[in-house]
Amino acid sequence: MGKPEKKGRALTTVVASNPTNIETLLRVENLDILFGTAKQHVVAVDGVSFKINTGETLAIVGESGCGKTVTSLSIMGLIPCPPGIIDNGSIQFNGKDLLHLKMEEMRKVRGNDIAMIFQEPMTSLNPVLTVGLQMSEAMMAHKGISRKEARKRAIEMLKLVQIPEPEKRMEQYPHQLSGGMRQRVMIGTALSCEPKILIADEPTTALDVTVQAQILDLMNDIKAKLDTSILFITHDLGVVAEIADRVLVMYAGRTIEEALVTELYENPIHPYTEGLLRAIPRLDQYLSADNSVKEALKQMPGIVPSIYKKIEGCSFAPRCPYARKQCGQERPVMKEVVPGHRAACWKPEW
Amino acid sequence: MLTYFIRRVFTAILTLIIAAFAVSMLIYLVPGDPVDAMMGDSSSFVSPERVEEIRSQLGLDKPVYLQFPFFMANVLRGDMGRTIFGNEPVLPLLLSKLPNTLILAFAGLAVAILIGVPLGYIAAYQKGKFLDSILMLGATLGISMPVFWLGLMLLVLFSMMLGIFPVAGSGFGSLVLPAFTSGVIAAATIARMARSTMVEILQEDYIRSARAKGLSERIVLMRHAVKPSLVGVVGMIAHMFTWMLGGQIIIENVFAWDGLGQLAVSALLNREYNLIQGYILIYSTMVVTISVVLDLIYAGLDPRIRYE
Repeated sequence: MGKPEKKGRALTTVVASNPTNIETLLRVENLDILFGTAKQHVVAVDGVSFKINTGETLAIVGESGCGKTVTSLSIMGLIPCPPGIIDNGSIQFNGKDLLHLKMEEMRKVRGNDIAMIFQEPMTSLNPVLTVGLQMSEAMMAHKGISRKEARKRAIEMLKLVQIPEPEKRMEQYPHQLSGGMRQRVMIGTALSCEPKILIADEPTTALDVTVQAQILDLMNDIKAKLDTSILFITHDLGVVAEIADRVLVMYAGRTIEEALVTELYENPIHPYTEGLLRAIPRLDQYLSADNSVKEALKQMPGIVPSIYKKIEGCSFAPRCPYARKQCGQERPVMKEVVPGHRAACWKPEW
Repeated sequence: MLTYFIRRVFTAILTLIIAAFAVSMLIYLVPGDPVDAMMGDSSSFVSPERVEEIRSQLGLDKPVYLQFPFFMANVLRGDMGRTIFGNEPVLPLLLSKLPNTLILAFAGLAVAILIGVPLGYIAAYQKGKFLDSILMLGATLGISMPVFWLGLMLLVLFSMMLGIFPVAGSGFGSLVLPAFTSGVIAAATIARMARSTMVEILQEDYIRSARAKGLSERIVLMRHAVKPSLVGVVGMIAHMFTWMLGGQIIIENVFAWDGLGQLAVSALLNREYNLIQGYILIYSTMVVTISVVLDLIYAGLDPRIRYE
């Protein structure tokens, strides 16, 4: 997946070199999300804070169950409640706290200012409605345009996401489209109202590798064209390198490290990030010229702590090769270790 | 789509031929000599000539392997024989009762749909909440109640005690109670089906997508949830409709409704085999027709079936 030129990155470099253009679009602060009842619950998201700037792609990385999807759904106001409880925190967007918006106001944000695409393109489109209708309806709901006008715009969107014969596709049903094409339709639909932020929750995970690469190219392309900020959720560090400007690493419901993507790959601070990067398999490292195995794949010892257990100190301490007594007792907070590079770890202070 | 339709009609005709064969063989299920059995106690009053006439009318004077062709040829000519008592042609008699039965079945179906479908959807939307529990308790009661019992209770309450509706008859007033009886019981089954279908659909990814687009809850539910649920719900409605057409036997007798069901019961009691054969054949035709129409509705509701 190594692509020489990264369009998305190039764009942000331009924005970054002109500081007056940087504007924080979305600011999530101290977000706590529980599932269950007030008495008996599990903590899915624990004190998460981050921000997304204009025109930037932020990737949230972490393994299954670390709270990245729940975090993104909370921005959309799509956490089912009950059993979900947003216990604490704020999500600031455009001067509004999304967590305190009325249902009707939140509906106007969804799909209009902030749009979202999901992991499963196979099941994310309604099987009994035409592609055309599913693409047009968001525009009709938010932009107050006629069905005919929305249809015209939808065809343009299909062209933008590079779907051949868009007029024909409009009349088709999802089952007549391939997985990659359905994800393109999802992306086109999400972008149809020109949202300021696109949340992409593992949009390439369910696709095969060549289609993955095409979808990532497409997203980079579109970002350059529309200047949409992207919140990209993934567990695939290869994908992160491909698309992100900044990376936020999550572990067991907490954020543990945040940095620009090159900085993170070159100088990981948190032992978990370090372990993740070391675990990426590289052919030259593991195989010698005659195809015999040089060394086994690297792995991190231990497993993710159970969400049913309350963690006092650092959630990674039980697996951490550097852990000291302090790590099991005091919870490290996110601190800037190097300018622009934050981590929640005691180690830099020793 | 056209080939699908033609194939479906072809299998329907095949089904009907098999049904007709089974019906034509029914006469051999009668213990002893069918004609003697039909005559029962009155056989001594009937002349041997009349017995022979009935025997040939039933095709019993022909060998077994000719029984079905004989029966089928007659049916295709619209001749299902005559009744033993009264010597009336069977088909016109049955057809004269058909409209009443259809009226009652459609009225019952209307009640079932109007009550069952919305309540099932509401229960699904309120899943796990108080209203859901109450509605599903009601549905379980509705399913467990015997038709005749509910019919009798309604008769006692509304006709005898309150005097709102007539006890029997054929006007609109006397349609209300029997339609309500069969409708409520079918509604219970339909509501449970509608609920479980809708509960499943509300958890689908595409409902989340629809919400993520910022569509109003009304559009999310009416467009994105109701439409995909219709295949299951319409199937159950059709199933209940065939149940009603058959279940009418009980309801028509409880409410003295002058339809096919009542005729069928008196035919059974009087051993009118021609009439019973005719009734079963008409009922099979209705069931097979409903299933063909249902398949066409399915194709209209779900594009995945249409383009198969």
